[in-house]
Amino acid sequence: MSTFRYVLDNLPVIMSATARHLELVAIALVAAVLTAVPLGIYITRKQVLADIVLYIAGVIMTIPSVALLGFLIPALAIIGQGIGPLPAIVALFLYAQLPIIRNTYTAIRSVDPAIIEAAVGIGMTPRQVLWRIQVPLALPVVFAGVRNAVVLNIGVGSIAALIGAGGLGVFIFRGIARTYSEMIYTGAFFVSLLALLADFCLFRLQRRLVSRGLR
Amino acid sequence: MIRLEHVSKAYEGGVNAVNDVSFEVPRGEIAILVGPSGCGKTTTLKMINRLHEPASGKIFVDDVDTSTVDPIELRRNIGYVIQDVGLFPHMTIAENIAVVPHLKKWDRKRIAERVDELLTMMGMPPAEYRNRYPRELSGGQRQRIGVARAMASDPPILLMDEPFGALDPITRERLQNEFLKIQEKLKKTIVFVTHDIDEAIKLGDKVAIMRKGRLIQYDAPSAVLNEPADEFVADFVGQDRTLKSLRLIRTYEVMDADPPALHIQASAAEALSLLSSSSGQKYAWVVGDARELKGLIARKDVLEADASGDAKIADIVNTNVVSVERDTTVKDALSEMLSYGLARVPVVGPEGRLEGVLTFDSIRKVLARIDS
Ligand SMILES: Nc1ncnc2c1ncn2[C@@H]1O[C@H](COP(=O)(O)OP(=O)(O)OP(=O)(O)O)[C@@H](O)[C@H]1O
Ligand SMILES: [Mg+2]
Repeated sequence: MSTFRYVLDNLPVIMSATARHLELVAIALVAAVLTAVPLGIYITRKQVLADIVLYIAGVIMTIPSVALLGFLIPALAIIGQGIGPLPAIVALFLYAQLPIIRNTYTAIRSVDPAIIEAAVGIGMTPRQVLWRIQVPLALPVVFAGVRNAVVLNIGVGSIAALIGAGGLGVFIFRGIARTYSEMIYTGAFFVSLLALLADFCLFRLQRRLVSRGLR
Repeated sequence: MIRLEHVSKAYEGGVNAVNDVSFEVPRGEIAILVGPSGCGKTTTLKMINRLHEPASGKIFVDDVDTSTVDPIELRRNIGYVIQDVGLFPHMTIAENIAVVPHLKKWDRKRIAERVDELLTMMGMPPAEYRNRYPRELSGGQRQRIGVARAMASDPPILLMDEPFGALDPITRERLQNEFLKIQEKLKKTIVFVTHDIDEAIKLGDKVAIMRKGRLIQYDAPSAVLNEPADEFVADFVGQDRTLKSLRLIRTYEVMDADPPALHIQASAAEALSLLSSSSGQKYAWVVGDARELKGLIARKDVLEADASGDAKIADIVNTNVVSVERDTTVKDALSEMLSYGLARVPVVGPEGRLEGVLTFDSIRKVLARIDS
C-alpha cells in the first residue's frame, strides 16, 4: 500500500523518468534495427562472415551489463562523453544486436528454397527475390527478434542510472542505497510495465506489417 | 518452338540426372515428359528456363540459343508452373497472379483486368477469390492459381511441372479437360511433366518417356501405345493398352449421330408413331427448339400415359438424364456410363445441343478396331 502512496506522491518524477527510459531505449533500438537487420540480411550470403558476426554478437551478449559500461566509459571519455546518456545508449545498442541479427539471419535463410526457386523461375532478379519474397516472409521472425531486444533493453536500461543517464533505474539504485523498498518496487514495477507495453505496441505494429497470409 | 540438342546435366555427387537428351516441341504443341520418379523430368524442365545450366548440349527457344540471352528476360517470357505449386504465401491470389505482369511494369488497370480474366478462366469468381491468401484455398484451387500465374503475361511458352499432381482423380480429370479446352484456344508451346502415363497420353501431342536421365521414346501418344520402343516403355505404358487408347478418342468420333429425337411439344401420338413396335425403337431423346437436350422418353412411359388420356410429351419426359460433352474422351464417357449403370448416354455439343448417342456397342466396335 505504501508503494502505491509513493507512486501517487511522486507521479511527475516517475513519468519523466519513464519518458527518459523510453527515450534511451528507443534511440538505441532504432539505431540497432537500422544496422542489425541489414547486417543480418547481408551475412546470409557470406557463410564465414556470418559465423564471425554471430560469434561476436554472442560474446557481447555475455558481457555483464555493468562491465560493458565499465569499458564504454573510458572509451567514450576520449570524446568527452564518458558519463551521461551516450555510453548507456551505446551499451543498449550493442545488446540489441544479437537477437536482431540472429533472427534476421535465420529467418532469411529458412525461407523455403522451393519458394525462392519459384521466384527466380518466373523471372525475379536476386534483389527482387530479396525484397519481394525473402524479407516479407522473414518479417514475423525478424519482429520476434526486435521484440526480444526491446524487452531485454528495457530491463538492462535500468543501469543507465548508474552513469547519470537517468531513467527508471534511478528509483531502483537510490532505493537500494537508502534501503527504501517502496522506491525499488516502484522502479521495478514501471520497468516491467514499460516492457509489457512496448512489446504490446510492437505486436500491434507486427500485425499491421506482416501479411495476413502468414498468420 | 523449343529444341533440346544432346543436353546433359550431372549434379554434384555424380548422378547423371539428364543424359544426352534431344527433342523438339513445335510451336503450339504439348510435349509431355513422363517417367518414374527421379528420372530427370524436373531437371530437364529447369534447364529450359535456365534454373539449371546444362553441362553440355544446347537448348533453343524459337531458334535462339538460350545460353546467349539474359536469363531474367528469358524467364519472364516463359510461364513456369512449379512442382508443388510454389505460390507466395504472403501475397493474395491477385498479387500472386500479377507477379510477372508487375515485373513487366504493366499498368494497374491492365493488371487488374488480366487477373480477373484469368480467375474467371480458372472457374474461380474474381470477387470471391481475388483477395484471399493461398492458405485459404484448397489444393486444387492452388494448383489452378499456379497455372494462372504462369499464364498471366500471356507467354508463348509454358513449362508445367506436375501441375495436376496431388489431386483427387475427379478434380484432376476436370482440370485436365479445362486445360485442353484452354489450350485449344491459346495454342501455347508447352512442356508438361507428369509421372502419370494416363495423363501423358490424354494431354500430349507428343510423349517423351524418360528413364534414368535418358530419353527412351519421343512419339505421338498412339505410337507410344502401339509401338513401344522397348520393354521398359511397354511396361510403363502398362498391360491395359487397349483401354488406354480410349483416352485418345473423343466421343464425337464414335457416337451414333442422328439419334431418335422428339420435340418437347410433340404429342403422345407422334411419340407412339416414332416408337411403334414395328420400328423397334424403345426410346427417344426429347429436345427443344434449338435441338437442346431436354430429356429422355421411353415407349412404355408413353403407352402408360396414353392409356390415361391425351398426354403431352412435356408432361411425361424424364428430364433426369446424364449426358457427356462431345469432346469428352471415350474413356471418361465409359466410366460415366459404368458408374451410372447406363447402356447409352446422349452426346451434347455447344449449348447442350443433342449431337448423338454413345452406346456400349459403339465402344465395342472401337475396341475391336484398336485391337486388330
Ligand atoms: N539439386 C540437386 N542436387 C543433387 N541431385 C539432384 C538435385 N536435384 C535432383 N537431383 C537428382 O537428379 C535426379 C533427377 O531429378 P529430377 O528432380 O529431375 O527428377 P524427376 O524426374 O523430376 O522426379 P520426380 O517425379 O520425383 O519429381 C534424381 O536422381 C535426383 O535425386
Ligand atoms: Mg520432378
